[in-house]
Amino acid sequence: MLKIFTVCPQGLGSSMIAKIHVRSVLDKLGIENDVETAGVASILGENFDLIITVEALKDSLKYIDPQKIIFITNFFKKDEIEKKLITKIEELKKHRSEI
Amino acid sequence: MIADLINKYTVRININVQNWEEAIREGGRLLENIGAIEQEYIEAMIQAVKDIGPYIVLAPGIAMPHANPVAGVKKLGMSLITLKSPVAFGNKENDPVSIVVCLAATRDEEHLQELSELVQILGNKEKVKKIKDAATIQTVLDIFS
Repeated sequence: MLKIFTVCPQGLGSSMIAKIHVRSVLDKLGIENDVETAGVASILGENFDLIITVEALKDSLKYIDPQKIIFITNFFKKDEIEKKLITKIEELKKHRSEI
Repeated sequence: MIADLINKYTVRININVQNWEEAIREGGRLLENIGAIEQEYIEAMIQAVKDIGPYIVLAPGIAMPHANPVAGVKKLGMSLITLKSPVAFGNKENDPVSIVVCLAATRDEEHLQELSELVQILGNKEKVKKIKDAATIQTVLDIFS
């Protein structure tokens, strides 16, 4: 089970688009997932496995473990999101027995 | 359905603008005309870029300006304009921009369906090229119908 936040400044533009892609990729891979959109301020204190976001928020997310963040540059290219997500999941698998 | 939002009232092509702010104003005005937003929402979309950066340039050549719903959204709306000459938003990966999709969303996820449809269309290179090169509004509408 992966808990993921897609994060953008408002929590309803790019984060919503990212959520659409992330869900479809994880569903395809057969990985149980809970994907939620969030504004940058609202993830404080939340538990999650990964955050998917835009480069512009790099500074605002400094307090978060960089290993848990994926930055996306093209939100209309499912390949980019899929590739980055799979790489990250492989890393996660090294550190825990099940996803 | 995205065709309910992207229609003859919300699409304009080959718009002449000098810079990214004008591009947002042109797209925003279409949303104001259909009663989806208050005028102040247009300024909020511009201010968001000034405050946070050009994160709204979501893919090469494509920007999706939007702001917080409390800044003046009255109902769900989307507008699409193509620019006669592309303008830079300051996003080094994805500039210059020639397609601007302004979004007026409400807090709940009622626009998820429309965004999914938008992603399908703007994720397709040929369709994006057709929209960029469109000589008539109808050409764009046909892609969204």
